[in-house]
Amino acid sequence: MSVDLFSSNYFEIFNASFSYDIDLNEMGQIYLDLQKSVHPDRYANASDQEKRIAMQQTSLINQAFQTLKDPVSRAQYMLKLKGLDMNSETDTTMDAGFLMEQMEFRESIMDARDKNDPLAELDSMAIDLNNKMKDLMDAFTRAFAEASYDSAREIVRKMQFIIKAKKEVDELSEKLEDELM
Amino acid sequence: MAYSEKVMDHYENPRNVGVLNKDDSNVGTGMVGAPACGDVMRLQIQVSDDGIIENAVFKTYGCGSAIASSSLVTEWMKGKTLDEARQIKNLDIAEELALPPVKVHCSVLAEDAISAAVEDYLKKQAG
Repeated sequence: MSVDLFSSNYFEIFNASFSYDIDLNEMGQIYLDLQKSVHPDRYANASDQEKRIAMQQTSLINQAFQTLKDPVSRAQYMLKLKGLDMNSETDTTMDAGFLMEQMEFRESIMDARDKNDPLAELDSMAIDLNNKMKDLMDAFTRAFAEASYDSAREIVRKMQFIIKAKKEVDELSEKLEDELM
Repeated sequence: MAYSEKVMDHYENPRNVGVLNKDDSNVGTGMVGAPACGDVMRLQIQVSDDGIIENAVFKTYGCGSAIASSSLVTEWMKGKTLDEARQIKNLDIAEELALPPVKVHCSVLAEDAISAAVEDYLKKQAG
């Protein structure tokens, strides 16, 4: 292994540049190669210490990939490296207009059930949410590149609501599909 | 996770679900959200001329604890002055509902919603 994993940040582990806009396919390939290189089978005859280190490397590589793969946790991780705390559960006030919109969106998810074609309704909501997520990801890339970390942080908070709404749309779609079968 | 009886009661029979006209001068609206779980809460108060909260309504999209917390505070706020309402702390809510530590942030959301609603009302009165 060419780099010392334990003193690298997650981007360095995958030899990726420190940027939000990553190539997930490429990273996925590097992830698989790395996992092979530290696979326990390769350490069958190694000392206990070497085995232990290989295990730790395996779990670090996993952790790194899981973190970077997900658009929200990747953004949170990047901000954390810049010293911003993202896990503040008590941080509840934000853009009232955005929250209002979220409220209305959740209401319309609930109402979708009573529409003529609820599944079509939910599909178009899912597309809408995916587009919103893409916009937020682009906005994050820009804000982070400009070192506007406070606005980048606000964007991540918005992403979390969009993801939650998307999850609700998906769950309701699945439920309705089951009912129709 | 098992919810306490009080949470279940508020969850199954939420008190004061509704909406007031946010443009009325005697109505204060508090919108808060918890990014960690994606919960959104709207709490509204209607205040009488002598500064008493006559009515409080809420709408919450979130887990049982978030719904119960907001339902409970609407009950608690009615008949109180704005200052008294602002004395309601998240720990009182958490204790009343027997919220487990991982759900305490739902009561924080409700406390913040109270402040946001009161502030919105005061801002309208000043403006």
